[in-house]
This record gives sequence, C-alpha cells and structure tokens, in this order.
Amino acid sequence: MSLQEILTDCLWSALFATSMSILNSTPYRYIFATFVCGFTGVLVRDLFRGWGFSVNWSTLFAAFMIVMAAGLIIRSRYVPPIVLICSVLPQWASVSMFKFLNDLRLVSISGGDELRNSTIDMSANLAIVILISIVIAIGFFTGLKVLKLIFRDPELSRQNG
Amino acid sequence: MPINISEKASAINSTAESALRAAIMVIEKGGSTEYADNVFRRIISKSGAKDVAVMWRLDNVIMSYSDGENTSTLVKPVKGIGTDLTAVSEIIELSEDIFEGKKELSSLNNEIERISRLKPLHSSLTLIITAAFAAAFYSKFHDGSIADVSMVFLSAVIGQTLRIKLKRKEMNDGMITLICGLLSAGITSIVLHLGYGKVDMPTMIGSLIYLVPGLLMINAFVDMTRQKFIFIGTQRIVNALFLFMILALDILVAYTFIKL
Repeated sequence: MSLQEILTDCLWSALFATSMSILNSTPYRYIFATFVCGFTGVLVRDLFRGWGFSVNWSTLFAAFMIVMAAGLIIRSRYVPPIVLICSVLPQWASVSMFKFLNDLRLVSISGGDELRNSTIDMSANLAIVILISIVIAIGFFTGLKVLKLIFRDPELSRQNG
Repeated sequence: MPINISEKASAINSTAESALRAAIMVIEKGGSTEYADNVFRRIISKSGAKDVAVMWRLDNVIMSYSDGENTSTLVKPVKGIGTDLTAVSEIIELSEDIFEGKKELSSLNNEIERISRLKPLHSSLTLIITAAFAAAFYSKFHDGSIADVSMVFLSAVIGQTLRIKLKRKEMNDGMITLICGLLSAGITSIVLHLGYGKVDMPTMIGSLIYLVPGLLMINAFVDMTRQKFIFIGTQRIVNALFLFMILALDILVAYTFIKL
C-alpha cells in the first residue's frame, strides 16, 4: 500500500468513527478526539502491516496507540470508553462476524464438499472475530495501564478529563 | 430540634428512592453500570443509610439498606435503554455536586426531573444525516465504488428515518432492528439486483451499520471488565448478540432477493 492509500483509508476510517460517535450521542468535547484516534488507529495498523507484522499484531499496536492518543488529547487517565470503542470500530472484524453468522446457516443446510468448505469458513471467521476482539482488549488494557503511569495524579487527571 | 426515628427513616427512604432513580436513569440513557453505581453510592452516602447493597440487572435494579432499626428492600424497573450521554454526564455531575456539598440533597428530585426533560443532544435530522454518512464512510473504507456509497447512503437515510419514527412509538429494539434492517438491506438488494454496485458483504453491512448496537457492546465490554458487574454485562452481551442475529437475518433475506 502506498502512503497516499494508507492516508486515504485513515481519513475514511476517522470519518466513520466520528459519525458513529455522533450517532451514539457522544458529548461534543470528545468528537475531535474520536476523529484523531480513528485516524491514528488505522495509520498504525497499516504501517505495521507494511513492515511485515501480522494483522493481529498490527491491530494490537493500533488499539494501544488509540488509547495513548485519546489520553494525550483529553490529557487524562480517564479516557471515555465511547472514544476508544468508536475509534476502534473500523478495525473490528465486522465482516467476519456477519460471514460467521451466514456460515452458521450454510452449515445447517449444506452437504458434501459445500458442508466441508462452510465449516472451514465458519471456523476461520469465528477465529478472526475472537482473535481481533482479544487483541483489541489487550491493546486497550496495556494502553490504559501506561496512561496511569503518565497521568499519576488522579485529581489533576480528573480536572483535565 | 431533635429528629425522631420515623422522620429519619423517612428521609433515608426518600433519598434511597431518589438515588436509585438517578442511577437507573444513567442506565436508561446509555451509561455503563459503573457510572450508575458511582452515582448511586455518592448520593446514598449522604443519606445515613447503612449496609447498602445493590444488585444491577437490565430489567430491574434491587437494593437493600438499613436505617439503623429496620432493613428495607427496593425494586425498581429499568425501562427501555436509550442513548443520551449528555444526560448521563449531567447526572454524574449532579451526584458529584451533592457528594461534595455543592448542592443540597433537597434539590435532588427537582434536578433529576430537569435532567429527564433535557432535549436530546442532536436533532432527528442530524441523526439521519450522520447515519447516512456513517454508512457511506464505512463503504468507502472497504473500497466501495461511487455506486456502493450512494446506495448505502440512501438505504441508511430511509432506514434511520423509519427508525426514529418507530422509536417514538416506543417499539422494542429487536423489532426496530428487524424492520429497519429489512428496509435498508431491501433497498440495497433491489439496487444490486438491477445491476448497480458490487455484491459483497461490506456493501450489505454498510447499509445496516447505523443499526449495529455499538453502545450496548461498549457498555457490555466495560461491565465485563469490572468483575462485580458480570451479570448485567452478560445480559448486555446476549442482548447485543440477539440484535446481531437479527441483522444477519436481514442480510440473508436481502442476499436471497439478489440471487433471484
């Protein structure tokens, strides 16, 4: 992927994340943070993929950087979950989730080779959904722990947040 | 003037009711259980109630407390879950003000009433446009063509408009997701059937993306990470999975039509 393609992807992802945050009635003060975090997440993921990392490792680093970006923009260890989740939504395995649900139907009505292929597809899609969700959770967890080290004073952090 | 025991018990009871009402409002407006629990505990700490215990569920909230003499139990229903995070912020600020003594406990009921009457943060038109752009950006992010983007934009506009109308009629979330999902996916499938756009999963998901239970998943995730809210977190996850199953059904119906 060229840098221009990566940046274009980042822009669509950030705009999607921002739209979802508005749709979820996020307070105005967090909308800019969501845009930046949505942009940062895909940028980090695509850069790491370009450097040869797997999609799971790349998503983990992206989730970690989303938390860091959110914390630094809001200047607090108390990052609203809605900012994190809306920012990471473009990277969540939504396509695999829906394909998995479709495969469930196919497995129930198929036979022979089609059944075998559907079963393999179903396992693969389920594995993608589970793994991506887990690496996002690990990235968030690690990011929040690091934010606690950066913003050690909870009271100051609370005032900024 | 000394306060007699029954007056004290009555005051504790009144504050407990209000604290529970404020906390339930947090859940009903889309806040996480941790926020609701914090609001509840800040307010109840000012009442003088002892041995306070609360059980959070998505259908009812149950609390018990002692006024020093007797133990009482309160059960309050959680009505429909909506989305108004600005109201949630207001309730949290109110509970902090009461906890820090900036506001009197006696003003609590009036303040809760005021917050419950707050207008939503965004107008219906803003929500319709935002849903349409969310669909368009999702499609673009997944390399959608101009035809794909226009199609999901139109589907989301029509679907979200109907969704807002159905919400006003207080229809349940499952039925709204089914009807609006069928409408949006149906429009997309008709356009695809006519030969415009790309028949693939991201296009179909894009037309329904505004229906994805995002806030429900967020709150489920937040609840599950706090070990003491696992029960309500599980309820939220099951609820979100149910809505996902409905969305998958909408997509399957649309796919069946495309293949006709």
